[in-house]
Formats: sequence, C-alpha cells, structure tokens
Amino acid sequence: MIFRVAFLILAVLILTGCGSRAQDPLVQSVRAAVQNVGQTPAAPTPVAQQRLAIIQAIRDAGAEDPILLVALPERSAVATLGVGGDNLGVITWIDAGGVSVALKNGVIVSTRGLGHDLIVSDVSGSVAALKMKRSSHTREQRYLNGEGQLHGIELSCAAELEAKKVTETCHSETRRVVNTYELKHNRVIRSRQWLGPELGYAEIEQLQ
Amino acid sequence: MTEKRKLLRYALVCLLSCLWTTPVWAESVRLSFSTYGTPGLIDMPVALSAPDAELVVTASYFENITRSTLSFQITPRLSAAFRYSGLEGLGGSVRDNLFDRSFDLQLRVLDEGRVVPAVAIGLRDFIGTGVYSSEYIVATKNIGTRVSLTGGVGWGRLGRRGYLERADPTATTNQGGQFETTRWFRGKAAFFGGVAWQINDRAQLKLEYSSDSYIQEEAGAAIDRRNQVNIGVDYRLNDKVALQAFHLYGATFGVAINVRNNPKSAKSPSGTHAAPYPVRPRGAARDLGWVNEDVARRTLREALAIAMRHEGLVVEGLDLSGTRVQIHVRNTRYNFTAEAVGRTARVLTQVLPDSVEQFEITLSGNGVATSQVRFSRTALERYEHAPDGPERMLQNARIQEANLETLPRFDPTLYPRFTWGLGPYLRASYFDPDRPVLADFGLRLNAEYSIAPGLFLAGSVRKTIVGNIDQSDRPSNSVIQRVRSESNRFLREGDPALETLTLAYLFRPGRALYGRITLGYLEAQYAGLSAELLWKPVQSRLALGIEVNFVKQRDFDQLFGFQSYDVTTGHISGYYSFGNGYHAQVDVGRYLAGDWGTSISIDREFANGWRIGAYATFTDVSFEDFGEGSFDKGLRFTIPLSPFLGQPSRRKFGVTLQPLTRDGGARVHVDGRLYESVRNFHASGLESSWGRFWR
Repeated sequence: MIFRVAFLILAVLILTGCGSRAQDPLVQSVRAAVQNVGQTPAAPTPVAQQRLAIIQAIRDAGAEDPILLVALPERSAVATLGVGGDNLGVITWIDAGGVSVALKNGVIVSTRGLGHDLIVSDVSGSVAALKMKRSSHTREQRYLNGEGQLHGIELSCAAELEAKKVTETCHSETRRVVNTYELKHNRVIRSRQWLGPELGYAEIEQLQ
Repeated sequence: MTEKRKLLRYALVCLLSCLWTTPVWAESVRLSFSTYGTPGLIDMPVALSAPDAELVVTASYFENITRSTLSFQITPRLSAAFRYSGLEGLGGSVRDNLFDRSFDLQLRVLDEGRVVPAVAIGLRDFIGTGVYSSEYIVATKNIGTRVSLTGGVGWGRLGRRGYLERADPTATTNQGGQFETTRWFRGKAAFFGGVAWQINDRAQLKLEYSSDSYIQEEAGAAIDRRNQVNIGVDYRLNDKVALQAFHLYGATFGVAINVRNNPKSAKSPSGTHAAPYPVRPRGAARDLGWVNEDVARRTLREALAIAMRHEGLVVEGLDLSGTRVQIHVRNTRYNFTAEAVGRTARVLTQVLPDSVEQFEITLSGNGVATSQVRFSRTALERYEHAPDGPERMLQNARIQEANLETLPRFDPTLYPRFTWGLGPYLRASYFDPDRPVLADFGLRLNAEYSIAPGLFLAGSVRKTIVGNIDQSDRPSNSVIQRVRSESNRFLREGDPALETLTLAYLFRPGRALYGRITLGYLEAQYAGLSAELLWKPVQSRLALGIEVNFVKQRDFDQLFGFQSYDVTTGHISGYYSFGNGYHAQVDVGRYLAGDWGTSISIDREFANGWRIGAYATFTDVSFEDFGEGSFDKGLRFTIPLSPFLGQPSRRKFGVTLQPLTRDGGARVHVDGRLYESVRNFHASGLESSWGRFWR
C-alpha cells in the first residue's frame, strides 16, 4: 500500500514536472512512458498507403518546391523532406522531425536521426555507374558502433542499365544487397537503396 | 521446506520441457554461468571467457544459500566478479544468517586450439572473509559444435576442504579482506570435471562432478549432501536473459537467473536526435562590408543565438572579426564533445558572412575555458560529405590550450542566473550486516545560482517520504576516529537533511592549470573549505593534482550544526589515461581519520560513456584497527543515460559499491572535482569520440 502511494506521488511529480529543468530529457521520457501506459499503439497504416496519401496531399496543395519522399518499409515510416543544403553536389534533405538524408546524383551518401545512421558512404563508383551501360565498382558504407567508433561495410558491386533502370548488386562478406535506380532524362527519379543492416532498404522518390 | 523443494523441482521440469520445443541448432556450445555467477558448469568453473566487456548479473538460490554476483570481463582474458552471499543458518550465535562478500579473478592463459584445450587459472574469494576461498586450474575443450568437456584441479574449498580448515589458526586477528597468498594453491587438491551439451540454440544441459564438499554448510545443517554430482539446465530466453535450474549433490534443487549486458553495444548507436544543420557553402564573393554595419552584425548575432539554442549549445562569449571567429561554447546536450564542436561549426557556416574563414571553437566547462578546436571553414565545406570526412577533419583540426583571455560576453542574461528543480529521489544502502539492501524514497529540492562564469552558489535539501534505511541501527564498533562508520546514523537522523550548500569558484590560474575553491556544507557528513589545483595540458595523457580540505564533521541531523571532530585532509594525485580506454589514478595523502596512505584505482571507460572500475586504499591504520575487511576497497560504475532515453543527454548514473564502510582510508566528497570535469574536453576525450563530429 505504502509503495503504491509512493509510486503515485512519483508519477504525479514527474507528470507535473517542477522546476526550471522540466525540459530535461529524463523527465520528458519518463513522462512519455507514464502517459503511454495502458494505451495500445494505433495500428500503423501500410507504407504504400501512407505514401499515396502524402503524394495526393502535395499535388492538391500545388507545392512548387522540390520534395523528397522517403519510406522505410521495415519501420513502417514515411517522411517528406525539403532541401536544406547543397554542398559540392551533395543535397541534404531535411524533414520537420529532424531526419535528414543526403544524396549525390540520387545516391544516398548519409542519413541522420534514424538511430542506426549511415554516417557516410563512398558513392563515387555508384554515381559513375548511373551513366554507364555496365560497370563494376566498390563502395564502403560507414556506421557508428555501440562504442561510438566508426566501422565500415565494404561492398563490391556490379551495375547494369536496362530500360532506364539501373540495378546495382553488391556483396559484402556476409550479405547481398540490391539497389535500383529509375532514371528520367539521366536523373534518378525513384530508387530503392540499402541503408544498412538495421535500417534495411529506403524507397526514395523525388516529387516535382 | 518441502513446499520450496516442490517449487524448485517444478522449475527444473518446466525448463526441461522447453528444451525440445525450438529445434534450431546452435553453431557452438554457448557460454553458461555457474551458481557463482562466473563462466562455468554448475558449481565448477570452465576455462572460457565471456565476450570482452560483458557485464553479467547472476542470482542463484538453492537450499538456504543465495548468491548474487556481478561479473565483468575486464579484458578478453581477464575477468573479475564480486559476490554477495547469504548463508542461512551459518551465522553462529550472533545472527542466524551469514552474509558474505567475495571477489574472484580468472585469467585465461591458453586459447583453445585444434588439439589443445583452453586453460584458465582462477582465484575464488581471494580477498573476502574466506568462505569460498579456493584456487583452480581448469581446461575446457569443445568436441564438435555441441559438446564441451571440462576438467580441472582445485585447492582450498575446491580441494574438498571446509573453509574453516583453511583459516590459519595462528592469525586470530584476521578481519578478512587480506591477500592470503601463502596459502594459495597449497594443501589438499582435488579433481573436478564435467560436460556441457548444447541441445539447441536455446538450451544447454550440464553435468559435473564437483570437488566442493560443502563441509561447513553440511555441519550447519544448511545442506544435506549425498554425492558430488550436479546436473543443470540453462535456457536462454533471449540475448540478455537466461534461466537455469539444477539438481545438486543428490540432495536439492536450485535455480538461477543471468542477465547480461555489454557496454559495447547500444540500442541506437548514432542516436535518434535531430539532424545537424548542413554546412552552407560560400559563394565566390567574400565581401567585408558587413564588418562596419551595426544592423548586419546585430542580425547575425540574433541568428546565431537562435540556431545555437536550437542545438542545445550556449554561447558564453564571441569575438568576431572580418576573417576569424572565436566562440566559447557550453555543451548542455551532447554526451560527446566532438559532436558539440561539429554542430557549432556547422551553425557558424550558416550564420557567418562568407569572409570569415578561421573558426576557433573553445569548449567551456562550468564556466571556464578548457580547450580550443581550430580549423578552417574551407575544410568544413570540403569534407562534410567526404568518405573519410571524420579523419580529414581531425587532420585539419588543431586541438590546443584555450585562449585564456575573456571574450566579450555574448548574452548578458546568462549571468547571474537562477535554476532550481524539485524531484523524486531513490537511494539505496547495501551490505548492512542485518539487511543486505535498504532503500529510501523521497523528494529532493536543488537550486543553483550562477553568479558569474565559474562562480556558483548551489544547494540541495532532501526529505524522505517512505523507506527503511532508518532500520539500519547497528552501532559502529570502530576503534579509530568514527569518520564514516556512523553513516547509518546520518541516514537515519537526517530527515529532512540539508545535503549540500556551497559556494564554488572555478578558475584558470595559468596555462594548463585549473583551480577550484569550494566553501560550505560539502556533503552529508562534512563541511568546510576545499581547494584544488590541477595541471593538465590539453594534449597530455598525464595530469597531476593537489587538493587540501579543512573540514569539520556535521551533526547527525544534517542541519547547520557540527560535531567536535575536525581535520585537515588532502592528497597529491596523479592521473594517467592509457589511451585505450583504461585510466589509472594514484592518490597519496592524509585521509579523514588523520591516517596517511595511498589509493589506487583503475577504470575502464568505453567510448560511449560507460565506465567500470575498482579502487583500493591502504593507510597506516592497521588491518586490525580497520576492522572487518582490513582495508577500504570498492567497485564503481558510471552508466550514461542517453542510450536509455533515446536522445542525447549529458546525464549519467553513477554508483559505488563499497562492501564495507569503515573509517580507515575515507575521503571527503566534493562536487565538481577538476580532473573528471576537464579531461573530456581535452585531446584524448575529443579524439576518442571524433566519429561523431559529423553527427
């Protein structure tokens, strides 16, 4: 009984959050956890459905700025991103929730804010492959491990262009990944690219 | 008793029935843990090691014996364990239960080869009171992928001797805690051995012939041993948790749970917090016209303030010229200093006019400048997306001593500033001889008034709401000045308690020097003046410090009064970072009871902020006068909270496990000791987290 009282007091304290440090992440996350108790999360809408709804909304709004649609099927997540930066041909796309994706000629260079981010990827071989009928190249994708140190996954890839679609098949020591890029006027308009072992594939589409 | 046995037998049957439900074949025999919480069969050890840095908590129970063990793989070969055991009915006349603390070490000396087995040598209970005192050499060999054989020879308890037989009858004053090296690997020895069979991916069956005869336990009627054969089942629920059940010595059933954690792993290694600002590349024109335009300067200061606040960074000072910016930054959000530097740099590219090329970012901790990272804006533009961007940036950055001149104040509202918080707290007291764990829950009010950079007035008050720490009422039996052994009286009588109330001043007396002066109620038991000076060059792995404290013991009620005892205590300290995550510290000086001596501590720190260490203090207080334990020692842990919160935070959870709180080798606690608050800003701290520069 006495512990139940203590727990209630604790919960109330955290929910009300006293002091000038109420924005503390610890307080906030405990508060979120307490508020979520007993609530079943809403069933996620399938990714494809979310995507269509977003595309429709953007068309209806008649937006003119370029928009990037990124879906992570393994996380059932879809985000729309706008251009945030352009440095040496790498475009950084940013969404309101703090996720960013950087692309060079449509090939993913890095991500931020996804937890298992692709810190940086050597994409020069893949970018060159988009302009060729057939090619082979290597690429390295780098991640942070649990200790905060960078480690790389080396991939050796072969790419092939067929009917305005480039298929890039890559092998590491333990896995095989397939990236596909759909081209229009020599630009990537739609693609499916492997982000990493935890995030899986991203489906990317540029609108406008 | 029969009820309990029925329950344990039921647990064993349950686990056995689980064994054949998941027909996935394991690639090799998985590492299992003994009832002692170390790599092993059931009571016997094996010659295997856990993965590097694995931290395993084990609780095992059988027939009146409880063992709670924390084991840590210090290096790939060396592991250590700390254990707290309860032996019902063995406490003698004073109390019924014997609570015992013990430390183990195991070193794998030989790796398994195609023919040769893995070989390890180990010490159990080598500085405890000796209940589990034993030594062993053990070999383990895998046969195929599903069976492993283990054989070894043991001395002491593992040589089928009782622990009282081993105790030296001439050493009447042995208080435990001493290294009885002369008796290691001596006397009667006995063989032990066993087999582990990996049935499938989750389940393992273990069978052993034990060389432990539980002589005292049997004599004390705690166990009724019939033979030396044990059989056990290990069932792995997931990567972290395993359950075990045993049938022991033909007599009884037992259960155990192992919970594993590895500081090297993290749920979301790069964090899910917001992306940084991208670098804004410059155009061709580098106009200097803005330098003399007040409006332009004011606008860019406002933009800088907004963007930095957005990133959780506080601008303490700014000096901007036509081609160079100097900025003092306080990091309130990121666990890793390199990330704070990287984000500051990118904000600067967004806001500053194109003519500013040289970036000098100074990190300030507690209001004092610590180190400066300097690089060109061109490098930032060039390497933002480069495949070797982190390495290139590090090559192009100079990490050096901060510029000690005070920069123009950026934000006049920063000082003075008042912050406060009211929140719950939970605190625990471990290893009371009568009750192993006691806990208190209550409210804590803390407040801080930052008067000027480096000058703080801070305090905290606590009030217990519910708890049982006040049940700790065993009086101190210490024969020397009671400087810590009456801690339970402070815990009991201090409600409400003024925990701290101090005025602290942090400053830079010169190059590579840091100073601190703290005055007031320093901690729960002492008040006074504490002064510290630290020498730590930015690039150096070595640091030296000196600290002097004039303190008076506070009243048990922890309000404003004092007891009569006062003392001058202080140390000369040497700190060394080995560069591979290992840190050593040696302190020489005078301790709270007026005793002179030295403390040695070794910590292993992981790049993600986890830290695990051990310390020991030897002073001129004799082992006899010290009392139980013979000398002060303990384990300490620091766990960063950001991985659990899923967002960046500089908060950490720290705990020190001190098996016995006595009066010899005790030190005063002061907030904000210099070395720990400075070193993360220096070269080794920055470089070890540099992978996050572009995060």
